[in-house]
This record gives sequence, structure tokens and C-alpha cells, in this order.
Amino acid sequence: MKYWQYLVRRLAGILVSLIGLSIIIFTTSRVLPGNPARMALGALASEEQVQALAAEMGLNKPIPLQYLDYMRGLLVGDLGTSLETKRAVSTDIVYYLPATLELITVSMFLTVVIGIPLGVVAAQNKDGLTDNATRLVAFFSVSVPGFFIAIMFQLLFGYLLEWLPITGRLGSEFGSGVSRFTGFLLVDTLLSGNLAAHVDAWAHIILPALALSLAGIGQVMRITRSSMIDVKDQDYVEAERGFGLPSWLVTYKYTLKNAFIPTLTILGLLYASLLGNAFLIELVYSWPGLASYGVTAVLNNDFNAVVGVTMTIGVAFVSINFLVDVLLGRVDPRIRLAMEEAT
Amino acid sequence: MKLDEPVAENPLLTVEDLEVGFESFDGFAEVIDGVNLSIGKGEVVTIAGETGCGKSVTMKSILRLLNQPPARVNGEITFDGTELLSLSDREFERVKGQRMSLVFQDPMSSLNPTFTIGEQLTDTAQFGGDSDTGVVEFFRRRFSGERDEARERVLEMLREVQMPDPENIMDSYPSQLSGGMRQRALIAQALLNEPDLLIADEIGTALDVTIHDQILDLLKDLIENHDLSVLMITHNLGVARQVSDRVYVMYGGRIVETAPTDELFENPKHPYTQGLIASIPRLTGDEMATGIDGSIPEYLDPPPGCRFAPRCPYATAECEQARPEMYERGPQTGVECVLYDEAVPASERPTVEETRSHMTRRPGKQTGDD
Repeated sequence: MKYWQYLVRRLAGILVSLIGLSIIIFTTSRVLPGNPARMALGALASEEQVQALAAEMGLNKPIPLQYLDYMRGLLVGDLGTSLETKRAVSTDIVYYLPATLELITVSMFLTVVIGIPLGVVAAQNKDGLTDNATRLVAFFSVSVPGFFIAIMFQLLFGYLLEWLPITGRLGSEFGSGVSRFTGFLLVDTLLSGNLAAHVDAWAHIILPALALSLAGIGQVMRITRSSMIDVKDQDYVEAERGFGLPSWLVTYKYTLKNAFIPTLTILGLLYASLLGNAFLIELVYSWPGLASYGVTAVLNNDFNAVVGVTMTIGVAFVSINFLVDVLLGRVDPRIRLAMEEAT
Repeated sequence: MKLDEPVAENPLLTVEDLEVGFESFDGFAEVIDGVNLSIGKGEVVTIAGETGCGKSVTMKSILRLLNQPPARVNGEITFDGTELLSLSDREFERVKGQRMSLVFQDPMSSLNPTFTIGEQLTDTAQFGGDSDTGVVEFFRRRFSGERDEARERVLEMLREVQMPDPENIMDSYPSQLSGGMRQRALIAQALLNEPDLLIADEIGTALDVTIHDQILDLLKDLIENHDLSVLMITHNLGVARQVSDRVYVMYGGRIVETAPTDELFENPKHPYTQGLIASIPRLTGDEMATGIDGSIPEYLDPPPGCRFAPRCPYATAECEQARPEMYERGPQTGVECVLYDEAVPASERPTVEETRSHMTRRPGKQTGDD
């Protein structure tokens, strides 16, 4: 079996698990106490009005039928209407998702470019000053809650030093100069040719992204450090050193590629978990993202929105994990070869 | 590679009074206790001894592969006129990278699993021994015509080590190769930078017997063609006999006997060497010796005199008190045993048969596992 065949098989499995996820989420949202029609219309609406809306939304049908209706809609991109925003859930998701993805992607970028080099340096100086200092930073970043750090950042960089904006994605003065192409402001500002807005978008995203990435930086640093130390003691690394290859080449090419395998798995899990965990950071920074949209939906029993957001996060989760599998196969030929050998 | 030339006149590597100890929680372990050895240019020398006798520690101290601390290394190691222990790490790396090569014990773990054979070997061919290469310099050379030349050199070397289908092997990962092929790849890698001294740690012992034999034959040819000086480390006397010119027998961190290979096998002197030779399974004979009784000394508290005394059937009170001198010392011979003092009549010196008779035996018709 070729590796791509294995991946195709994985994709089929992913589809099955997404269907499973949709059944669970859909059923849960329908059996939760509270009448969505009543929630939508408010306390003043009459019983008849509520009944009429419930019938219109199909809430009187048996749950399996409701599910089939929902899936039929899903195939054409119809996720139902949000009771809170009165817009189509799909529209809301398309609107809010890019903000969250942008935030998470920048955090992941920071996690990689800060966490991995620090882990390598710590491993090189095992038990030295740098190692102990990074260890301390890692413990701190993992143990202090992200929202607390977020608030401290706002206080320090936004309020006291006034270096960076405190909330939002873009200064109001740029609102009209940027058209929406992708929803990713860092991209849209460039596509609009507005460099000042691009810089402003960076200024807005850097604090929330850093606050969101700190815990991950700590984890990635520690994982990278310990796997670097493991790999450094392998015969092949000793041999490469022995043949007189430049030591930076041995470290960053021959050792790091092997040490990166466990780190990559962690990165995939981190990316997916940030999707759900970005909520507190989004709240602190008034970041109009999917996580805060989803939490608002849960609090208001906005069931179509809840299912929509959960499914979106689910799809993102399995896609990221699939991507990690593809990358793992690229980084570690043993995984790929083992798959090809096992028929 | 003539044995009758005294090695001392033209040594490539000499080790004098090497002492290596390790700090541990239980105290200081004196592992290597005054080892002297030399390798002449073009000579193939084996250090033989059972597991734990200090062979690998000796090799690692020569190559500076021991972490200090916990290790403590004293003595003098001279390579082609340069004293190695006094060199800075950087200077040492240069000498090592350009002139010495090491073939590791286990071919399964000595190739990087995430790079193709071609990638690792071509990097070694192009940058091995150039440990000062910076990042910019690296990328400039990596993507120049020099890379293709290096690749050609690797292919040629793979052909020389009789690797089947070398073109294809270049694009394969180590996990796709058999043990014998990996061993060939490792030998090729070690020879890419034309080293003067090849250090081989238990070469081929992880392979099955027929492949092991092929590898040793190959190694013999390569030694001849590349005019290599070789330091081999092995626990297998058969290997020592097959390839080396001269053998050092090591026990408990000391060299107990050295002699040209033929002489050592025909006329082993030290009771330990005799015991080792007596333990080699023979096809004839009704019974076989199962090995020398007892085990290697405790390095934290070694026997004060001869370290072999507790296991030696001929040991006297004298042996247990003071370390014996090296007797019958010639340019290529020596034995560290009081039985070879000139005062002892030749008739009192033990033979292999006599030593065998002191050993535990069991009925023959069994094949040894070595």
C-alpha cells in the first residue's frame, strides 16, 4: 500500500468520525432543557407564537427526522439560522472564523519560532544556566492562566507603556481603507495595499497572540528539549560528529529533524485545542472571533449556532490532525515505510 | 603490514600510561589502569577482551567521546607526532574529522533514520572534517557543482564496499536496508574522507555469521587498498585472528599480553589469554570448556595486585599483592604475568591444555555461539 492510499483511507475514517460527531452534537443540542423557540421570541411572546415558531423550525418532528433535515441543509451549506444574530449560521461562521484562525495561526507561529529554538538551546546547555532559566519560564508560562497574562499584557504594554492597542483587530481610522477579501486582516490589509493598516493589524494581534501562545511555548520548549537530549545521545549523532561535520549542521539538521517528530504531534494537538481555548483571550481583547461567538451561542441556547461552531471546530480538529499525519510521514520515513509495508 | 618490523619506529598512534576513572555515587571507579599501546602506520591492531574489560573506554578516550566529568582521563595519546590530550576541543575535532574515522558497533543505530543514505553520505563526503564551515559557506557549496562531485565519490565508494545497486541505495532510507547493507554503508561513510586511522568497534558482530565473514573480508581488502592503519576492538578472538597483524589482550582495564597474531594464537602466554583460546569451541574433542570461571573485577575496589589473580588457577600470594611487570618485552610482545619472570623455569609455565584442564567443561558436540 502506498502512503497516499493510506492517507485516503484515513480521510474516509475522518468522514465517518465527523458524521458520528454531528449525530452526537445534534442530539445533545436537541435534548438539552429549554425551548429554543421560547428563547428566540423572549418572555413576552404568547404560547401560540412559540408553538408556531417551533413548528416552523421543525422542532415538533422526531429527532432523527430533524437530523436528516439538518444534514440535507448541511450538504448545501445551510446550517440553519442563529436565533441570536438572526443571520444564517454559515454566514456568521464565515464572518467570525477568520479572526480566530488568524489569531491562532499567529500564536502557533510564535510557538514554533520561540519554543523550538529555546528548546534546542536548553538541550545544548543541559543543566546549565540557560536550561534552568528556560525551565523556569516554561513552568511559569504553563502554570499561569492565559487570560491573566493577557490582562497583564494589556496593563503593561497597552495602558502603562502605551506601545500597543488594548483591544480590537484594527484601529477605527483604517476601517474604510480595508476591503474584506479573506477575513484575515493581515492578508486583507496587504491586498488592499494599505501598509499602515497592515502594521496596525500586527500591532493589534501581537499581544493576544503572545498571551495565547505562552502555554504552548512552554510545552513545545520542554518537549523539544527532552527529545533533543534523547537524540543527541544516539549513535548516529555521535557518528556524524565523529566525521567532523560542522556542529551546527549536526544539531539543526541531523538532530533536530529527529527530535521534531514528537514536537510535531504536540503542535497539532495545540493548534486544535487553541480553537476552543481562544475564548478567554478573545473576550479580554474584544476579539470578534469564533470562540466568543460559540460561547455566546451556548449561553443563549442558540442551538443552530452551537452545532455549527462545534462542527467547524471538529472539522478543523480532524483536518489539523490529518495534516500532522501527512507531515509526520514526510519527516519520518519510517512511519511512511511502515504503512507501505503493512498491506 | 609486515609484522617483523618493530612498530615503535614508525607509530601512527601511541597511547602511554592511559588512566581513566569515573566518578560515581559509590566512589571513584578506576577502570583503565596504565594502558600502553601503539599502532604502526599500515598496521592492523586488535584490542581483544571480554565485555567490561575496558576496550570501549580505551577507544572512547582516544576519540574524546567520554564526558569529563564524570570521566577522568590521564596519560599521553600521540597521533602522528601530535599530543592529542593537550589539544583544544576545536583542534582535536579537526584532527579527528580529517584523519580518523570510527565505525560504530551497531549498524542498526549508526545511520540517521530520517535521511536517505545518499543525503548523509554526500554531506559527509562534502563537509566531513570541515567542522568550521559556516551556514552561508555551507549553502553556497551545497548547491554548487561540488555537490555532484561529492555524490559521485559516494557512489564510487558504495561500489567499492560492494553495495548492491548503489544508485538505488542512495535514495533509500536506512530502515529499507538489511543489516549487512547498513554495515557496508557505514564502512563507506567512514572511508569517504580518506582517513589514516580507522577505529572499528566490534565491527559486524551484530550481523549473522556469513555476512560477518563477508564484511571482514571486505574490510581486509579495503585496509590493503586504502593503506589504512586500523584499531579494532572485539570480544571475538576469531575476528582478531582473521584480520589483525597484532593483538592486545585486555583484562580488567590493563593490557595483559601483546604479540603478533600468529604468535599469540600458537603460543599464548598469559593464563587469561590461554583461557580465552581454550574456550574457543572446537569441532574435534569430546568436551568443551565453558569459559573462564568467575567474572571481571569490580572497578570500584579492584584486586590490589594482578587483576586476574582471583580467577587465575596459578595465582600465588605474590600475585595478589603487587601488579606484575611486563615480561618478555620486545618491540611487539609482552606479557604481564609473574610466571614469565626469568627466574621461573620454562617447564613451570602453563600451556593452553593445562589451563583448559582447570576450567569448567561440559560434554562436546555443541556448537558455540561465536
